[in-house]
Amino acid sequence: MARAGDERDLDAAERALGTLSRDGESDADSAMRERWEMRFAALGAVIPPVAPPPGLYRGIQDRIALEGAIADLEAERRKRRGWRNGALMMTAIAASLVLAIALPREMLPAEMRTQLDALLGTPAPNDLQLVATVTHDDNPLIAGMIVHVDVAAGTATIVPTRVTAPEGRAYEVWHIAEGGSMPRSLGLLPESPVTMQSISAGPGDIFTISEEPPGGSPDGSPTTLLFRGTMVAAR
Amino acid sequence: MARFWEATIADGRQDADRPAPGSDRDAAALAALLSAVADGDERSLAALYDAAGAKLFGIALRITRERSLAEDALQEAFVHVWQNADRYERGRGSPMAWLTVIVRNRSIDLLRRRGRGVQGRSVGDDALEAMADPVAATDGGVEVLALARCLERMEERGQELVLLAYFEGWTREELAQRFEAPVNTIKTWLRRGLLGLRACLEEEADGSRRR
Repeated sequence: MARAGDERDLDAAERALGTLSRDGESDADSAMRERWEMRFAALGAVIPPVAPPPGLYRGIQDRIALEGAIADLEAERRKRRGWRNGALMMTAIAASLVLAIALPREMLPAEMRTQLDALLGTPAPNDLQLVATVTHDDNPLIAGMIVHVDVAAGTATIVPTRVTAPEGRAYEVWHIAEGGSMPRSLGLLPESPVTMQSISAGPGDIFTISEEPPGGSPDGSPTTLLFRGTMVAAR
Repeated sequence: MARFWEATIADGRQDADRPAPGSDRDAAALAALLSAVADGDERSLAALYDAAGAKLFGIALRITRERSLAEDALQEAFVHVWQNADRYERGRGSPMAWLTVIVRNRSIDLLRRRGRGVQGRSVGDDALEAMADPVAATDGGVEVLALARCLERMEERGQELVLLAYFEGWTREELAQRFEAPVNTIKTWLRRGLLGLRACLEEEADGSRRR
């Protein structure tokens, strides 16, 4: 019954069971452990199903959106290290993400809260920061861009995500002041974050992305609105 | 994709000799959903949740014995599935087994992170009994049946150690405390049990290949 390599395989079995720790496992060892895990998984079959509470799946969607957003933020931060106002922008964006998905922070797993706290830092006082997470009308998990407005400075920073327009089409950014005035074009969706000067925006304003022919809207108004998001105070 | 899963179930119901849950057909449906999730299809994740959520929540609840922890475990597990669905390989086991591994690992991580003592956890209970009864285990397909048969053939002590470690997340040290035995003795018992279990499972696998 016993054979060469048993010790190693039995260690793997114990790591699968959890009687031994997995710390410092090599790739080969983790493959052996996974094989045992799949064997033991049959034990789960005898446990009767229990319906999870309603709304739990919504929490899964929120966490997926948040984790994706945090990963994007961190990538952006690495890319833009030293960028003027970068930290402030990240602060606002990170805060907006929490607001945008209306997820009480207490519901987040501990390590995600720590991650967020690290990103959030301390906000500057007396400085109104606004953010809008602009998401797809059909699927709130797809964000097209994040807009951060620094009211005192009169700037708007557009942070695009990874969405790209279909072949032969273009995405254009619009600002609609609260109260539903005519959309004002802010130009084509940039490929990397862009800060625009002399922007006057307030809470309740809407930022949208429309799909247009190459070069942008032919008549100065949006053709097909695809993404939208409302400005909220970042903190 | 949700419709796809429902259709699969409805289809099965009309079938007089419908295979048990955990059958090849259910496995194929779950595997198809997983591969769509790997391609980033969010609706397939929802369908997977509809199909397997209750089963997996039952497992999380059995291990954590606390609704809030079980809810956390299930959420974390599905986020992990969303990010890692491409790592599921058909050749290495059923999709349900793969999902079960994820949920169990999350449940035990949460349980340990929260910190809990060995005291106050009941021992000889439902799962032990259900598992020791191969008839109750027939619902899960051939792998479950094989594991049930092999556990039944184990010495009682080894069987108990394996099940306690699996469902309660006890370490060697905690088992030693519970059984009032030195840690090395627990190790010896465990390994003797696991060696026998492995031999038996390999025999079962050879047998089913021949059938």
